[in-house]
Amino acid sequence: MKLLKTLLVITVILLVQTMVLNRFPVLKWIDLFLLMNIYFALNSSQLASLGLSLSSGLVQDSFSNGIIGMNAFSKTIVAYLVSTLSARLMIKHPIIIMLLIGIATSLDLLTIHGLRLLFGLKSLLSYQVLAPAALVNSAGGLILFQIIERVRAKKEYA
Amino acid sequence: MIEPRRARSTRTIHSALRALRELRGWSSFRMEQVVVSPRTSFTIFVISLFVLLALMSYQVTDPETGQTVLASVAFRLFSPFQLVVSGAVRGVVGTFQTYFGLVGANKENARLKQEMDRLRIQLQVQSQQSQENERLRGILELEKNVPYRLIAGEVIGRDSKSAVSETVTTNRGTRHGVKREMPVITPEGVVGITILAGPLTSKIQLITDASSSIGAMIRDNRTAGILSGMGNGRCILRFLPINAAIRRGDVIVTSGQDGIFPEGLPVGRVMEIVPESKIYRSAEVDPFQDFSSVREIVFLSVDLASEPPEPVSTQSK
Repeated sequence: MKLLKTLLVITVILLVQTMVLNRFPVLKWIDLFLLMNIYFALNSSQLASLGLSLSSGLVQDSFSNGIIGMNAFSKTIVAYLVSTLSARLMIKHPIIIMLLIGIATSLDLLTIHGLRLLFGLKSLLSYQVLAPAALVNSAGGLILFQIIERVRAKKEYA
Repeated sequence: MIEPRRARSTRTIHSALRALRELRGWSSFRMEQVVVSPRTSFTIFVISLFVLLALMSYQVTDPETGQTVLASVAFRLFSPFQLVVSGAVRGVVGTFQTYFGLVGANKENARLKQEMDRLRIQLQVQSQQSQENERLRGILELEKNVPYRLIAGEVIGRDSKSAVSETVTTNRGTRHGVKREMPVITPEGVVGITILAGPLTSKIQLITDASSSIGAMIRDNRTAGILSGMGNGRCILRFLPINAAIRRGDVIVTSGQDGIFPEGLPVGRVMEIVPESKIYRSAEVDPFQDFSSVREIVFLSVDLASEPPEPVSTQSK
């Protein structure tokens, strides 16, 4: 992955996340930054995924109303764990990927919840947030990953 | 097998250098080309988390302390270490302070010992002065009771060159009115006779001297005899009639028959009765006066009318 491409991808994701997805009731549960980190953790080196999660998390924090570093923290944990897991297991099956995205989403939200509690901030996390977020992200992530894989396959084939 | 730390570090550096060599500029940078060991990744991961935590803590204010959470957490995190370190430092400092304190205590101890010795000597001097005052008070009482002019003096030396010769030197002589064969007493009893009178000093023969003889008698029945010195700190009353009533413990006083001592001055107490011949017997007498510790003495001046001596004083010249 080239650095400039990465920066471009982050910018596009930021724009889509903030300007498109948040406008729809269901799609607002999708966390494109998280999905991007999971994807790169599965398909890239561990160091690259760590760098991407850290930087993208900071970008996400910069454009969200909260403490800068929370999303970066949670995304870094998720990326590291997924990357470590993918280095040991072959994660290609769609159900496994969905399960992995669901767990990663839950971990991301729980980490942010814990950080908010740690710093004495009010947290609105509940199963009513966690469950739809995990489900929508799992489904959306699986679809997105499949699309990307097909595009890449066509590109390599071409 | 555990990889040596040096080898791991070398490999990490080589990986970084290899990655940098492959770079062809910012546009061609590929992060996945940088391959690091899992341990290095974990280290970077942990460091990243700590940096992010610090970043977040810096932005949040702790409502309890009013400071940033970073400062508050850092304080809570490092205060136990600070406690341990300060405890260790205090322990070391305390040990040194104890050591130097002991050194100082030794010096202080030596100084206090010297001070204690000085105070002990001072106490002894004061005690002696108190005893001296008591003795002088006794002499003043004696002066009231004895119908003679008294010349107070002080023993300034002792003669111990002979086992049987018991004499003392006083600080009173002819200039003070002291004459030869003048009786010398203390409030306790008879001391002796002046055998040599110089201008400023005089020598007294104690009644315990072997060559000393004075007239004495048993106080209760007035049985008289001659009291001689034995040279061993005791006296012996001789020429007592064989049928004289005498018992151990009887008080012996001067008889006045020697023409030197007036009658009735206390001498001592009968300790033992010894048969001397068919018609006489003797009595060993323990003097009332302890001659080993005698200090202030009084001369009895019998010819007062001619020239009065200097006022009574115990001041040594």
